[in-house]
Amino acid sequence: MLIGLEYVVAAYGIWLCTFVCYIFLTKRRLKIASHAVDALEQKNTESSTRPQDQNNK
Amino acid sequence: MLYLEWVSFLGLLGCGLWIFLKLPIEASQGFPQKIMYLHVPSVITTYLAFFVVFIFSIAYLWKRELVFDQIAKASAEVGLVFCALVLLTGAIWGKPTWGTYWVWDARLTTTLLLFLIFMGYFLLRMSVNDRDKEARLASVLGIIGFLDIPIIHKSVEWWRTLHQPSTLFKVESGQASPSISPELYYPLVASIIVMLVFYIYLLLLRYQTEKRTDRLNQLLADTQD
Repeated sequence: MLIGLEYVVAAYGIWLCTFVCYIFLTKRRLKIASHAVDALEQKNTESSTRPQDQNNK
Repeated sequence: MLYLEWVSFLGLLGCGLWIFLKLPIEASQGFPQKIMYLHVPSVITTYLAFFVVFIFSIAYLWKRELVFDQIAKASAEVGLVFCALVLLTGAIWGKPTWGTYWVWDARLTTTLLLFLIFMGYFLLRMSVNDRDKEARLASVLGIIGFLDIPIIHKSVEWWRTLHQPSTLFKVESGQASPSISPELYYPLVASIIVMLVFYIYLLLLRYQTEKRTDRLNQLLADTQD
């Protein structure tokens, strides 16, 4: 049995878990923000072209 | 971005295998010495992250372009995570080597101060609604916060501390002479390089999120108008 194994496992475990969580949460934030931006931009495009379409009719 | 993600993941895995399977157990500290390959690269990455905050905060105050503030904010967040891990891994390493998790030693206290300054940096950002004012105030705090890093680095020379003096950046008669055996030195340098690549990946990921969030807030403000 290695003396001090628990300290090494704790240090590496905390480091790894922190970054797994951080990357997961950051990617989720990016995905949510990207979807929201795309939806709003599409909505803005539709609302800006609609009056023009009605005028053409 | 995906390429950088895989390079950093494979690099971290490779370093882990090298450290645990190839390297011998160090004679004086024993197995807990392996924490050094996590702690020291995290310290250097923290320094770099806050140096990026410092540079881009100055750039923002000079040019007033939002992109500089977005990079500074992204780097500050990544740096704060690394700084928290420096304190945690240092405390865990301290127990088997010093017999205690924490002492109010100059190196440890100034590092804790750095962590608290950048916690304040984010509290400040959260408390201001105007985006330009937020960027301006945060830039000033980012510059002031970085000034703690030279103090942290020099603390082991300026004060009597429990923390060991610099091993990697040791200078003797004007020349760099790391006080570490080559067998332990090369894996440490490899770990530092891999950690810096990992930092660049995290910075880019976080910067993209910041850019998207700012765009979203701008669109929402336009919709409300």
